[in-house]
Amino acid sequence: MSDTRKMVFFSLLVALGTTLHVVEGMIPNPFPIPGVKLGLANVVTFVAVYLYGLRSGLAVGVLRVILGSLVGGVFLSPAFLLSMSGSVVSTLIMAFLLRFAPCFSIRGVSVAGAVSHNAGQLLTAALIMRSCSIFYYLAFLLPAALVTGMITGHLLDMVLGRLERSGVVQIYAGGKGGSDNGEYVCRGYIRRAL
Amino acid sequence: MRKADNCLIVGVLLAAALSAMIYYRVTLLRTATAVDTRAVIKVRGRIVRTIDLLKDGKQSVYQVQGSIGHAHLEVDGSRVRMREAPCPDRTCILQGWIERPGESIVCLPNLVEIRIEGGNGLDAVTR
Repeated sequence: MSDTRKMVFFSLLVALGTTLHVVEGMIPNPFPIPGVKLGLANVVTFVAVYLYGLRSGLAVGVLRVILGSLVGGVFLSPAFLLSMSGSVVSTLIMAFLLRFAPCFSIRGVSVAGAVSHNAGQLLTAALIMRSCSIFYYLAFLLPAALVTGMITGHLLDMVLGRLERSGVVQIYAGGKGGSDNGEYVCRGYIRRAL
Repeated sequence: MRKADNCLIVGVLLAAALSAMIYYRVTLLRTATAVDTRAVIKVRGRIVRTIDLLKDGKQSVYQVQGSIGHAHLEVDGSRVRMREAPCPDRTCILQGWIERPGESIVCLPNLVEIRIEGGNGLDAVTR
């Protein structure tokens, strides 16, 4: 994949992530627990980490939170800080698992991403409030993250399969050697396929 | 699903159960007979007001300046609730009354926290 191709794909990921971030914020929360979201924007971050590695994943995650909160008008507010910390923490965890823990499937990594997203958010909330009371909320957020993580993991399976079949991204090429891009994550995907 | 995935899911469920248990022990099992309780109100982590809660106290409303607007707290005897808040989801209002030590109402959008402290002459209990 050439640099231009990568740049275009990367820009598309940022745009997609921003759109999902904003649109998801407009959908009324179907759960009785405030703060629970499906995390569709995290699907995009995952794809970025998966295809291009940690640094690009972090860039996509951070950029989409900045752009999304600018659109939503919450830039630099507590809500922005929560989104940002959740996004950064979950990207770090997902990249770590993809690189060093091939025993997890894509759904497993997605669940870990969702859980760490909530954990990062609560940690930041506790720091902002300078209070530990908020951690009681984990009892509600963790099961929710489990469910949303499974759903986004299933979506990721479909998205990566389609990307590979469409030939836009050569996900499988890394394992056969000779691929210019894809590196560890691509080979990881072959091990993790199905 | 892989074996490791299942381990992860079990681990998350255990963590959720553990935090639910701690939540239950801390807030729900406290005796409702606690005396000498007080409501501590914090904005951005700083204590802005402490209200002594008396069993036969009168009903009164306090106003606190939060991060995005005024929060109105209602005290009725030994219990307290958030009566009005500028936050969008109104979770703090829906939570209703609190009165046992350790219970708290947290309004994250407005960065306001109400916490019941004291009772039985103890400041805190180690677990």
